[in-house]
Amino acid sequence: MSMTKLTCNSLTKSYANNRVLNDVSADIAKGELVTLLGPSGCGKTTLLRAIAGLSMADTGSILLDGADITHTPIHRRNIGMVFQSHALFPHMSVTDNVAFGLRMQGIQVDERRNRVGDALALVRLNGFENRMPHELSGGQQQRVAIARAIAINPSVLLLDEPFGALDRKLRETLQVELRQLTKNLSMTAIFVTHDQEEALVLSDRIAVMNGGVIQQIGSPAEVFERPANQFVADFMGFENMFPATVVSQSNGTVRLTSRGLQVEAINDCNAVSGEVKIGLRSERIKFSDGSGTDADGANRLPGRVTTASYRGDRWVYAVDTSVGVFSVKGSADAKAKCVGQPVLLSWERAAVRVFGS
Amino acid sequence: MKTLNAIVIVLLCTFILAPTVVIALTSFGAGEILEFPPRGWTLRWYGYAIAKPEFQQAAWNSLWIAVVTMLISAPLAVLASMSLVRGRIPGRELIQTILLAPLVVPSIVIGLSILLASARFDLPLVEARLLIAHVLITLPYLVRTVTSSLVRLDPVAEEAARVLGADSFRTFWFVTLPALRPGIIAGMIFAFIISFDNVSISLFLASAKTNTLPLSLMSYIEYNLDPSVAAVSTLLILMALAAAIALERLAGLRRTLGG
Repeated sequence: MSMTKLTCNSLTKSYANNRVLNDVSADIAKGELVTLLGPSGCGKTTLLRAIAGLSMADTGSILLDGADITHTPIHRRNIGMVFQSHALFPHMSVTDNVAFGLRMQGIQVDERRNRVGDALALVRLNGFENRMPHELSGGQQQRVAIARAIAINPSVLLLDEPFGALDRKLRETLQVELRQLTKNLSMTAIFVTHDQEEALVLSDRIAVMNGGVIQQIGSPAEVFERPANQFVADFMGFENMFPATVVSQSNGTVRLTSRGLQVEAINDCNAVSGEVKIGLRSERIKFSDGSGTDADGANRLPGRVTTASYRGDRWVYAVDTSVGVFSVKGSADAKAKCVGQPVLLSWERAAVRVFGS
Repeated sequence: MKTLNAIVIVLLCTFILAPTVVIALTSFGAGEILEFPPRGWTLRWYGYAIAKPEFQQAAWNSLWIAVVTMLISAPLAVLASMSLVRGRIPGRELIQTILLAPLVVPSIVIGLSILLASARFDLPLVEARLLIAHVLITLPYLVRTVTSSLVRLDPVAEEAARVLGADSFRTFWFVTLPALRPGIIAGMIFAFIISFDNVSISLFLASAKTNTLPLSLMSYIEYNLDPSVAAVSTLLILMALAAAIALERLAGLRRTLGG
């Protein structure tokens, strides 16, 4: 199953003095859906375009199905690609758009018609065969673009922020559909996005990129729960980050101080020492009643609520403490805290992540 | 305010259409000379003009010159627009200005300079120098319309075609060129009309062999002032009108002219 489909070997690319890809290597297994996640300018689109052949890496190589395609012209790579601006051919009907790749491959009319029908069925657009692109909604246009890309039965499907221009609800529907589609076809896919939620929903693995480097690659849960470094933590929504100093380490437990506060953390990756950063996700912090019945009472901190904002499914509080301002999530059904109210924050040791600086 | 607006618009349209209407009416005049309003009505000047060998020969000259001009200008304009819009060439603004310059330079000056240059370089064919001049003055219109079609095409569509297996030629043929079609058609019709109607340049460069219809009308008027010139003019106006309608139908006139 985990046969390697696509390999990127130390790809490097610079524009003028700006290094947009810096020694990027990755293996992608057959049937896997990998997202390249990162802020704009992190190199994710450049990497995707290098795989498609739309831009050339300065050094490094790309292997597809074991064959070196680094210097293969774009039109001989057999790759499906979906762009953010759907990039449909405006003068062609839906059918002609989807059939374009098959036509370029010289496939006969009858088979072409069948395969266009199949591809449109996969994106649930039967009955739209004769429409023109401008007669379709944004979501339908993007579905046609997906059908057009998969109709040629590509070795790998590349998607460059395809849902970026769509509204939230439609985006969520299409994310689920795309995931099902690629799984049913066991199609290898690489998806570029800057939206961490989208990456979590879609991916088998997420590659978080910054500064032309893959910062971490792993399953959504891994990247979400155990970010490898500060950048990934910040990008995956670790709202609470504070400087701390390591005091001692034993049996996988790290003791630290942060502005006078004693903090315990479980360190399951690498040894840390000296000046570090600690990160805490806002939903992992609880309000304690001070009775000492918390699951793991090691970490406690008194504070005062400075702002409270209602988000429908939850409350988000800012709590001022001796260490700094904490962002804390409270459930919507619990009695809301008031601004100015003194509270006691507590969290499990396992919730604290330690990042070497 | 509304009535004032309406009055201005009606006056403006009258002002624009009046000469055309006057010419059309006089072409049906029964008298021996051009007069307005005509004393009686007849169609005989049409018959007379159409049967006249000078006009026939001149009309044929104008026609083939306009067609060939249009067919030379169109591909040149496509190539020019492609490199102006898609290419990364230095001095793009300057080249664009130069390409559009014939719109600004008085065409008499262009005619005169091509005459002088063709004499100096001993250009053998009078047809050639006439065609070069006509291509020169029609090119700006085509570049303008083709460019405006090209900027409307998302360059990502071309990339999509490449990824889908089209080499650069097939990408151009199947994706770029069809997108340019409205601009090319509109520009070609403009080029045809501009070339067909041109007097100032042909005046310098045409010979007895390549006498064009507008020129032959001019020389005819010098000695004769009968309604046959009005008949020919009316036919020319109808032709231009037909072209404009075709333009609207095929491409959407407003869309093609819009920047």
